[in-house]
Amino acid sequence: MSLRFSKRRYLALAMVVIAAGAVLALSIPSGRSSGPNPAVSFSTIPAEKLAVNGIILSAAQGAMASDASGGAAAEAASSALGGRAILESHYAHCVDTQRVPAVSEDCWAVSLDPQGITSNPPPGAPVQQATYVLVLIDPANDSVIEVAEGR
Amino acid sequence: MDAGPFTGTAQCLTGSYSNIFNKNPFVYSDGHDDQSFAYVMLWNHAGGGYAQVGWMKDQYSARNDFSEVNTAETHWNFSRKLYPPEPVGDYPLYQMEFSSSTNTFHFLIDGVDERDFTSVTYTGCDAFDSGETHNRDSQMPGEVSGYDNFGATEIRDSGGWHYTNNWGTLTGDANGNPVGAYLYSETGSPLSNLAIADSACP
Repeated sequence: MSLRFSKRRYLALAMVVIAAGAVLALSIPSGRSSGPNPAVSFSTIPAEKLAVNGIILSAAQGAMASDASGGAAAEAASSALGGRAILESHYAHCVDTQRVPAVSEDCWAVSLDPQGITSNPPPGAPVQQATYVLVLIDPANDSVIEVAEGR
Repeated sequence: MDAGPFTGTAQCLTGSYSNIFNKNPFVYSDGHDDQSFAYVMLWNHAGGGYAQVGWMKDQYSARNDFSEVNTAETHWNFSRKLYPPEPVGDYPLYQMEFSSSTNTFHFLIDGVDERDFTSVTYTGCDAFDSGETHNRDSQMPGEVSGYDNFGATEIRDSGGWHYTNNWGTLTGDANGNPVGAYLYSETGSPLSNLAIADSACP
């Protein structure tokens, strides 16, 4: 009688432990990515515009850069384009599949004011106003990795 | 002003290159469209897209090399990449190529492939060498006292690379300025050099 009662108590306890373990396993990050790196988005540049340029921005793979580093990078981006106003910046893993060889590194991505930038079309084609300017900056030395602009 | 489009050749053009003199022109700012360009281009004159590589300067005095493409793949919006500028006074080789086998534009500067852009919709087949701008003062890379020069220009068709021997019909610019607003000279034997200037720019 007492033995049967103990087995039930042990069984119940084991089920509680297993359930608690399952809850813990689901709630604690494993440290390994089980899917694509989450995208980094800009409010000033639609994602499809980045895609047209072959640019993919996702969460940085290395340590997060400091705010001070971001400020310096944004200033470097603006300075490289003659002082255009800074709209937005994000630290991200930056990929450009159109570059030869492809760019793939953590960088500062900086959005600048596109005012006055236009396309350079052949005769007969309409001139287009740019709607975005994106500058990728190397966080190690604030040098420009590349600039993408367009409509 | 535009030189080309080399339509005098019967074959489809898949390449164009030229040594283009890098200048540092004044670019007037009107807050609208204030840039100056010198470049080589492949394009479809029926509105089927274009791709170009060269140098440019904007109203903020930023000089850069650039690549620009506009096709169905960009949803008929322009996409431009900027690269570090060449020294003023240099003649880097700007080269556009389209590979029919891979449907890819290659943008080369001094032999270095800077960008590959895939376009399955581009059908060619014209080429263009051009220096022009888009602002009210008709500023452009070359002025009367110092033309901008395109040297050793060649185009590529099924027979490979060769001198143009035909600069085609020179045209006005995208702002509607007629060809008469510009000065130009064609030299070389075989014909391979073009010098251009804006007659309004002393």
